[in-house]
Amino acid sequence: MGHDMDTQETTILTLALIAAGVLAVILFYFIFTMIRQHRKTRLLHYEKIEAEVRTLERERLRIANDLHDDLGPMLAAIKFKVTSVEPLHKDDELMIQKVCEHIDEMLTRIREIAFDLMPNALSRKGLIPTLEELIPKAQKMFPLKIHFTYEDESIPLRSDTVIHLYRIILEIIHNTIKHSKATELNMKLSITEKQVIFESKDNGIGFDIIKVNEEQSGGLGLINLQTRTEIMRGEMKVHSYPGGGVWYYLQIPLK
Amino acid sequence: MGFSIIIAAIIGCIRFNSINSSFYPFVLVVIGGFCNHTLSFLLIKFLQSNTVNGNIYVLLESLCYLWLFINWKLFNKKLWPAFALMTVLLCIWILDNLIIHSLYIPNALFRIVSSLIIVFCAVEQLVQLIPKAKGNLLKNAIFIICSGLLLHFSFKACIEVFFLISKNVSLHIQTNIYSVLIYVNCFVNLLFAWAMIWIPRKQQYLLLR
Repeated sequence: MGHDMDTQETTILTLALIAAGVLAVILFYFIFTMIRQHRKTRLLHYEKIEAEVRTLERERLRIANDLHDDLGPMLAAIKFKVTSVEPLHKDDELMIQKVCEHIDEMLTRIREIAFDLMPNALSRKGLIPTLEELIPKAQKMFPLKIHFTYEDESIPLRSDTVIHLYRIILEIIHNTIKHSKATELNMKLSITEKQVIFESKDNGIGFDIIKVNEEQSGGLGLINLQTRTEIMRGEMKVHSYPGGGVWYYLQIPLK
Repeated sequence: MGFSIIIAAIIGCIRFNSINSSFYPFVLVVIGGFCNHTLSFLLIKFLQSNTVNGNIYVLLESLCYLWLFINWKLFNKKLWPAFALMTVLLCIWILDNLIIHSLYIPNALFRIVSSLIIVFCAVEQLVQLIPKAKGNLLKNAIFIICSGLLLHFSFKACIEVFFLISKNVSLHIQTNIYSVLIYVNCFVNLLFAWAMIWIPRKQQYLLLR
C-alpha cells in the first residue's frame, strides 16, 4: 500500500515537473517571439518611413528642377520677347515695363520656391554653405536674429543625411518663427568622424514639456523631426518650460 | 533564494528619486517584497508561520501591479476597468480570507484569481508595447517587467491550482512542487533587478528617436 502511494506520488511529481517544463518552454517561446516580432516591426517601420521620405524628397527635387530649369528660362524668354517689341505709344512702353517687372517678380518667386523645395546649394556645396545662405534670408524676412556657429572636420556626409539635417534645422527655424515669439536663436552644428551634433536654443515663450509628454500631443512639426531622426537612427531631445525658450539637441551617429 | 529580491530592492532605493514616477508602484512592490520576505523569515523562525503577512502581502502586491498598469496607460486612460478589477480583487480577498476561509491559513483562491488577472494584464501590455517600443526590447523596463510578471504569475497560478485540487498529496510532494516556484521566483527577481537598471529617468525633455 505504502509502495503504491510512493509510486503514485512519484508519478504526480514527475507529471507536475513535466507540466512546469512545458509551461516554461511555452512562456520563453512567447517572449522570444515577441522580441523577434518587434525587430521585424521596427525594420518594416524604418523601411516604410524611409521610402515615404525618399519619395517626398524626390518629388520636391523634380518640382524644384522643373520650376528652375523649365519655367524659369521660359519666363526669361517671354521677357526677352516682350522687351524686343518696339512700343508705338508712351502707354505701350509703360505697359511693357510693368509686364517686365511682373516677370522679374515671378522669376524671383520661382527661385525662392525652388530653393524652399530643394536648395541647389545643398547637393553642390553641402549643408553648411546652404545654411549660411538660408539664415540671412530668414533674418531679412522675420524679426529673428540667428547666431549660427559650426565645427566641421570636412567629413563627407551622405546626401540623404544632409537633406534630413537640413530639413530638421529648417523645421526648427520655422517652429521658432511661428510659435516661440523669440527674438534670438542660437544654433551650433558639430560634424565629427563619429557623429553629428546639432544644438539650438531660443529666447521665446517656450511650452510645458510635461503636459506635452503626458498628452503625447507633439504637433506635426515634432513628428517630422522625429521621423527624420528615426531614419538616421539618431536621438533628439527637446527641453522647454513656459517662458524659458526651447532647447533642441540632436545627435546622429555616423558609424 | 527568495532574498535575491534584495538586488532589485537596493537598485530601486538608489534610483528612486531619479526614475520616472510611473514606475513607483513597481519599486514599492519590490521593496515591499523584500520587507515581506524578511518578515516571513523572522516569523517562521519565531512563530513557525508567515501565513497572515503572506495573505495580506498578496493583496497589496496585486493592487500595486494594477496601479502600475494604470500608470502605463494599459486601460487607455480610462480608470473604471482598473477600479473594477481592484474591487473584484478586494471582494475575492475578503471572501477567501475572511468569510470562506481564515486569514491564518494560506488561501489559494485569491492567489489564483490575482495571478490570472496580472498575467492577462501583462500580456495585454506586451501586445500594446510591441508596435510602439523603440530600441532594444531587452533594455526596455516595461518589457522586462511584463515578461517577469508573465513567468512568475503563470507558474504561481498553475501551482496554486495544483494545491487547491490535490489536498491529499504529501508534504514532500508539495515542497518539491513549490521549489519550482522558488527557482522561477529567483530568476524573475534577477529580471526585476535588470529592469530596475533600465527604468527611464524622470523626463525633463521630449525624447524623439
